[in-house]
Amino acid sequence: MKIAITGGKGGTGKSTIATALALELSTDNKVLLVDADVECPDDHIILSTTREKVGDVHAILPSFDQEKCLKCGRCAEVCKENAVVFIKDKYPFIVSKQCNGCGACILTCPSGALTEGQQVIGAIYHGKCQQPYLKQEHDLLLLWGEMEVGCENTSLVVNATREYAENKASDYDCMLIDTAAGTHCNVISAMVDVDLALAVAEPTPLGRHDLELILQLLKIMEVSTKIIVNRSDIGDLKLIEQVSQENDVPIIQKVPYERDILKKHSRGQPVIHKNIEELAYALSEKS
Amino acid sequence: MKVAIAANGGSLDSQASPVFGRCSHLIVVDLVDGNFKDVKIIPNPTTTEGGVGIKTARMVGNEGVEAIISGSVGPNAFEVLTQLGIKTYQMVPGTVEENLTLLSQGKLQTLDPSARGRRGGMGGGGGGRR
Amino acid sequence: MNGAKKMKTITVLSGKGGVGKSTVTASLSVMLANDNKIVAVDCDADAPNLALVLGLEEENFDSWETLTTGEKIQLSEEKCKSLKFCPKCQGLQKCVDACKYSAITWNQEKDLPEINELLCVGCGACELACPVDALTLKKVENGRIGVGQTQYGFPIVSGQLKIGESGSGKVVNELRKKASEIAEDIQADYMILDAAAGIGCPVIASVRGNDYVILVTEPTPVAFWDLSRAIELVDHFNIPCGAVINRCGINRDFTYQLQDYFKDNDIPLLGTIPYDIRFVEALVNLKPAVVYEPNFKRVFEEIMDNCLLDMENIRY
Repeated sequence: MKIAITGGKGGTGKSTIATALALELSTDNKVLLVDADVECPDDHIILSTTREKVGDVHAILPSFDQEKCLKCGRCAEVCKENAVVFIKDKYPFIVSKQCNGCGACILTCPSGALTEGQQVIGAIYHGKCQQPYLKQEHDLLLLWGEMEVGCENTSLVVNATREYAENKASDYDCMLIDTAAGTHCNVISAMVDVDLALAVAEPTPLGRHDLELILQLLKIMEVSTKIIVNRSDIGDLKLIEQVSQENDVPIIQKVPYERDILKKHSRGQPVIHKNIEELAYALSEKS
Repeated sequence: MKVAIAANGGSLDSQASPVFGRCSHLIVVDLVDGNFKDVKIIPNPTTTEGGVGIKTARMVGNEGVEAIISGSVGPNAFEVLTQLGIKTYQMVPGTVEENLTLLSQGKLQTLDPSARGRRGGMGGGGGGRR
Repeated sequence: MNGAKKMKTITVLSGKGGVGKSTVTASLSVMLANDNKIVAVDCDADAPNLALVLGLEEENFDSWETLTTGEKIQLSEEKCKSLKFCPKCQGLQKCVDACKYSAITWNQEKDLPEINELLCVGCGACELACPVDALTLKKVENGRIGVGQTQYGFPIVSGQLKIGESGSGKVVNELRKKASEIAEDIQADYMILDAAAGIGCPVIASVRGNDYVILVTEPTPVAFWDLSRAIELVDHFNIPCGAVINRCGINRDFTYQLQDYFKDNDIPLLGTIPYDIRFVEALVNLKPAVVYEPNFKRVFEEIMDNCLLDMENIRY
């Protein structure tokens, strides 16, 4: 079973719910938690995991053979990112940070002066939970991608992280994928081919607005979806109930904003709450 | 020496620009013994694509300049300028003309793109704050 | 010297979502607008919230326009069908190999490529790879941008990425272009931009070439980790910055640690915002904090004054 935890808005509690759920599920299941928020992955902080690099993520970076170059400038013409600089009668060159690795310039070069090289755009890490507060045994591995700062083609790092996770999937009973905020390419890549998406929302006007957006995306992606209301005791629960009805997406659980949760959040600790226990139970019943 | 300066307007009286890629005009001048020859005004239209700095750097590259003056240069533009062998000088607040005169007198400093946030007092010394 | 003064652009950034970017942007905008002409821009095209925080609903905007700056690949099945006779390709599925974003797969049944539009970034590599021109890039609608007047006397530019489209960075670029036009019209002194969460392409597009960055964080290990990545980004683009600690009451020890960190890294602390339930109430009531609770004015006045002072100290 592959479950994505998403939500549109930043800071609604995606990582809080994902880590808590992973801990609950991993008491009697083998769980792989994938943090696909490669811009700002946080789950390893919340779970205080070990941090072991399993590999770099590469993108194509064209490499030039000046001897073969005709100085025709076609490579610069086809580049949508303005990453190839061509000045008449000079050899073109590539600004590596701007290159999105699509390879169009390599395909268009008439003289074979461009070939596929590589650049590192991120890395994949994994780690075991080291929480000293935990009393039980947890069969949980966290896997996460981290993009290089300043790099723009983050979805390639998400894809690579997902791919690495897919290769390991058969060793686990359950895979949880924690997505980035928003609805763009990163989030889309993180949710391709999942069995279920949990959309985390808070009951405020902003929460409603962003929940509507992520539900639209999930509808286009044809992913079965359920809503989790986080901080259900602040704001107005009706706001979310309305969206739930209008979109025919059920609310599966509500998690209140208790003092204890706030304190744990401020220390960067995972939350343990009976409502998440119930949620884990409901989900494992299904799988 | 042929020089391009980032400006907030299209004349020698315009203010020099603190930014490179998104400056409104580039003014290209041939500095000969402190005189300005062949003044060329190039508008730098705001575009919506990425890589604005790269484009602007390519533009000055096409003009065949040896140096540019600007308040700051983004990392990508700096890479292009370096590859093209174009020197970068740090502007001082004032007009285009004032900056060009200072450069011809050898009084402008080279720009250090790694110094965070252009902080501190002028002319080194550092620690302009606190 | 000629008189035309240059508008200053300020981006509010945090890395982590939900630490209070929009709260800070909205209240600072209201305070700044008291004595200056400003334009506010919501650069979170994925999940735009700033207009809502300023009490402006989508339908009350003055205008909305559709953007068609996105590109997607389209397949002509007829042209591709000729592929079996094509001496160059002969079912080599060159387009599949060319796509580095896994957006093209080969449908064995139909013997045709299949395009996953959700994953296509419009780079055009497959177009170049196809020997029979069966694939072409087409302009597509990728979002919309709107302009509205807030009740606090300044305009806001906000956008919305079309759901399922990639490239929110492109929408941000359009937003900034629109905002610059408006700023020129009204002779604005400041443009204030509210960035999206994260440090990826839309955030880079909102930070690039700006005069100042306000980093918003809260005293939690998670927010701090994300902040340090955001600072790396700001340093990469060489932009001066100052910091604001939000909800400083939730963890005092960590607040002190943050203060030390800023001191060590020569990042001025512009101000701290207490943890107060009235900030949540303000959001729920769709009012900027300084309007909902006038007592908060002091907090944001300090941040604003320190920010403007620091900007003056910077050598341009």
